Amino acid sequence: MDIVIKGLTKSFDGRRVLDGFDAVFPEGKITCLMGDSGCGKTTLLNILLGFSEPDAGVIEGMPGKVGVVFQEDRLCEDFSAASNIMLATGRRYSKSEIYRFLEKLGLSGIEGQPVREFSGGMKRRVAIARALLFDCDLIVLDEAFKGLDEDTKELVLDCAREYCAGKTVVSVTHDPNEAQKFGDLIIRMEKK
Amino acid sequence: MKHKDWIERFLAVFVLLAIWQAVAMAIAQPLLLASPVQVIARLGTIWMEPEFFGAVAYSCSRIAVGFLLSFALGIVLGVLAGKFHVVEVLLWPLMLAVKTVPVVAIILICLIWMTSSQLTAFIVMLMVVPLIYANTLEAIKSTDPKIIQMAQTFHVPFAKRLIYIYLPQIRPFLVSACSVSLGVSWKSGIAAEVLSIPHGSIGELMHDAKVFFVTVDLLAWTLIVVLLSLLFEKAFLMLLDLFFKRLEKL
Repeated sequence: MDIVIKGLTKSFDGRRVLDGFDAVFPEGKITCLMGDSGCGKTTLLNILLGFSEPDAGVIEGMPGKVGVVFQEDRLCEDFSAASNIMLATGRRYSKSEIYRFLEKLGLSGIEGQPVREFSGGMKRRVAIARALLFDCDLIVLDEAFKGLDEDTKELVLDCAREYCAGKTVVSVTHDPNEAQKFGDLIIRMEKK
Repeated sequence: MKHKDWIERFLAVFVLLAIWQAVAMAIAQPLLLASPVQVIARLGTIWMEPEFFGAVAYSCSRIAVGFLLSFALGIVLGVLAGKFHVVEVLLWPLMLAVKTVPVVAIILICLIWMTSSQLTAFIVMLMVVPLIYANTLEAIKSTDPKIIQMAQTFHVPFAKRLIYIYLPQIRPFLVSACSVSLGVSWKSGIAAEVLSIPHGSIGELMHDAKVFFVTVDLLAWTLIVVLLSLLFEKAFLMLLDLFFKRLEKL
């Protein structure tokens, strides 16, 4: 089922961030949202995820379970990568399956190591893996690939495309090349 | 701890003992104030007396039971209060009362309702629960809301949130709370024993030493209580550390 957004409006301290925003995120497709800072991309995602209420407008066809890569990694720092992922996936995958998947993202030899010892790029990939392996119908990526070096980004984007197949994906990005490579369609948001 | 810190602490203890020795020698009445040399000499013989190990076991077991009960109860109540505001509101007057009413008054009131053998563990529990509770609640409240939001988004069940999010958050708060609470346990536990005089306890022996003016015994038992309290603190904090390290390996 497509996710249909109709007339979404949201203001903060009298400043209108979203003004009657309309969009359709087609089922099973990757939609990339692009736009300048402050144009309301994150506000839109927050409303989509239920973290914030819109002043007006409706969202139709929103699924119950959503896998998210937040702007920050939001990992449990004292625990291993597998534990962090299993926190979301439960027993859907074994630890060895998770570590095999992480190897596809270029993370190897990290078994049992707490996430706090990882570099920023490694944490990012764990957060991406958590969303990709989560049993859901919609994946929301908020600048998920930001901060990864070019080679790693290529690797992760390929893997993400493979695992997002058949799922509805909404991805916020500032990188036109990333949007071109990853997205099935691109929506450009304008600053109000 | 640095080598220099050890030397400084050793010197501080030595100066205190030297002052104590000087005052005891100046008074020259062991009934009023026994000297540290006399107390240390008494420590060398007191453990050979038949009631020594029985008294130590009696008090240790009751204080340990009281502490462990309050440790569990304090965490459970703290987590519940952190999750449900109504629990925090309902517990507020109770925790405030326990924190502000003098321990002696609580001991005397409780003596009306329970036997002296039950009192020690109960008083320890009553004194320690507010400390563990307050620290747990503070830890829960200071949990990063973004991590909580992540857990909600991924439908993480509460039991897992407790293990992966709240327990690591509670850890530093709990360690400092336990460090204080273990000292409080021994202070309140022994105070309860001295007032209720349960048979075969350290409190009873301290009470007898005071009644018969055996100051050297009173001071020797005080020193033993301090040593047991320190030993308990080190052992419990070590176990706690071990528990959290095992948790990280999950």
